[in-house]
Amino acid sequence: MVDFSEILTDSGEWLKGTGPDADVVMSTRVRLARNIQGFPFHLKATPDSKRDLASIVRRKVESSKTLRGLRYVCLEGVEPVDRVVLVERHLISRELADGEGDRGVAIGRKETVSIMVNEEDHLRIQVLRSGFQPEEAAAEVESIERSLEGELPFSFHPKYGYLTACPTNVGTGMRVSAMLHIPALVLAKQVEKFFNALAQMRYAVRGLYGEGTQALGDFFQVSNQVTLGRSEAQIIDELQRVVPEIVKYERDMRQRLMAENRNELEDKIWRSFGLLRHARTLSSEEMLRLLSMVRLGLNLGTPEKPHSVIPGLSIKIVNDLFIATQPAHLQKEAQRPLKPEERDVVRAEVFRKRLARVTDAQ
Amino acid sequence: MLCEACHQSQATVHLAEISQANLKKETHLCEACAAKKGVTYNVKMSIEDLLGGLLKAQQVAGRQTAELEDLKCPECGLTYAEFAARARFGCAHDYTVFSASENFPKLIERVHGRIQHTGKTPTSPGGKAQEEISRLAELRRLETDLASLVQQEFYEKAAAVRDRIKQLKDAMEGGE
Repeated sequence: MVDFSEILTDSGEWLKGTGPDADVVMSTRVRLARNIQGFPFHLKATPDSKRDLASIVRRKVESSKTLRGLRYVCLEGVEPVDRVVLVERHLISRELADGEGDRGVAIGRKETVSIMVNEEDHLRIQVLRSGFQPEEAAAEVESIERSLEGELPFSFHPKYGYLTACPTNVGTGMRVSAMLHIPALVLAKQVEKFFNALAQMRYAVRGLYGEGTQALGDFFQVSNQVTLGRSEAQIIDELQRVVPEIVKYERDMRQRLMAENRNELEDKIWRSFGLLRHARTLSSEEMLRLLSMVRLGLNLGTPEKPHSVIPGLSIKIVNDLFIATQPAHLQKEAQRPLKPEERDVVRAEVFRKRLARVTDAQ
Repeated sequence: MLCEACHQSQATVHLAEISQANLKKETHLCEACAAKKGVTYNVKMSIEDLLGGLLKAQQVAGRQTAELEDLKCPECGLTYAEFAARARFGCAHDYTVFSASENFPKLIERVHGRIQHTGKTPTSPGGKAQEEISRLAELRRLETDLASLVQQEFYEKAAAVRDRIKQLKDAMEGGE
């Protein structure tokens, strides 16, 4: 079993809740897809071509002055549960975890950087930031790309741009997304309106774990669908015009709920906290629902005048628990395979232990 | 592209109606007008579904079908049919190969609304990296050749290829 302790610290930097607009935008992600010249794409790759590519990339990363801080993990020898831990930490995708053959990921110390190797494309460079920081995240991704570019020729076409395995990524190969937490809009049943507007503007709206997932925990991931015919700066610029609008609506709705339904809202929040604090079993879905209300409780003010209903509880604790109580993490915690019912019990235990230290102030 | 009905909103619903004469009629509508027309569709469709649907619609076109079916990449062996089924390319060269069909840029345009890349371009990497990668590619080709020559019992030719492989490997090791 791979010892991840060197690579995975207690939680990623992007979970600290310190970024701008973190009351609504949990995180920003910028992802670049690149393929290397002279190697077939994933569909037609052979075990040999995968192995050659992975070893070249690994060597380049380990010998690069700027990228040396990244730790490369070859996923071939890694246990399934450990692979899922990486998925749960948003460091690799499900596809890479479940894939076959020589593949891996280079992870940065603060868990904000990950470079997937031999997923759908040869390279998927990803940067995660707390709150809404598309420019900063993009700058970091581009600096990583520049370091790799100096050593590896990327497949490129003057008309179609950077060539990718799926035509939906061709061109800049850049996807910028923001993970929004919009419980007030969900409560007010205003979300559908946003979906339609966003779809019209060619934005994809997905759930917590990427493509096709439900809107668990009132989380919605908004990302650009168009990667060709727009420059990298334009893609970022557009997201910077769209997301703040949604943030504003969410904040306004939170204020309205406080003004018009304060007691009902606070009751909902405290009941959720109470369950998380004392329940003996918690399913994943229930946990996300309850945690969503608690997270809302911490963010009922505005950036100028923040207001938390549960002052003893920090957003960092909420985010850490959110990650730490996912299925594979629980299995690691318990140090043995767990059936779903057992997981629900361990999950509740982890919450009780952690929340016991939070004073139930009024 | 504007909606053909109201001429106001962007068209995000693309209908391809295929009649008995195998004629394809395309209509482009915005969501509101599509709903009015009674078109129901799955909003939560993934990008892959969309791509697959577009490709299938294009396959059942007029005479273009023959030309599309002929396209096959000499490098990775991907046929257009395979691409249409998997919605994935096999290698970088496929883009050039499929560009021979006029439908290909249309497909890309349907997904992105544009067909010309306007973002950054790569700077060329060090010559050493290129060299190493071409060597590895050649090595793979030679190994495939060796296997097939042995299978066909062309032992003399196989020996020559085997020597070439050894030569290449020695050169690569020496280079490191």
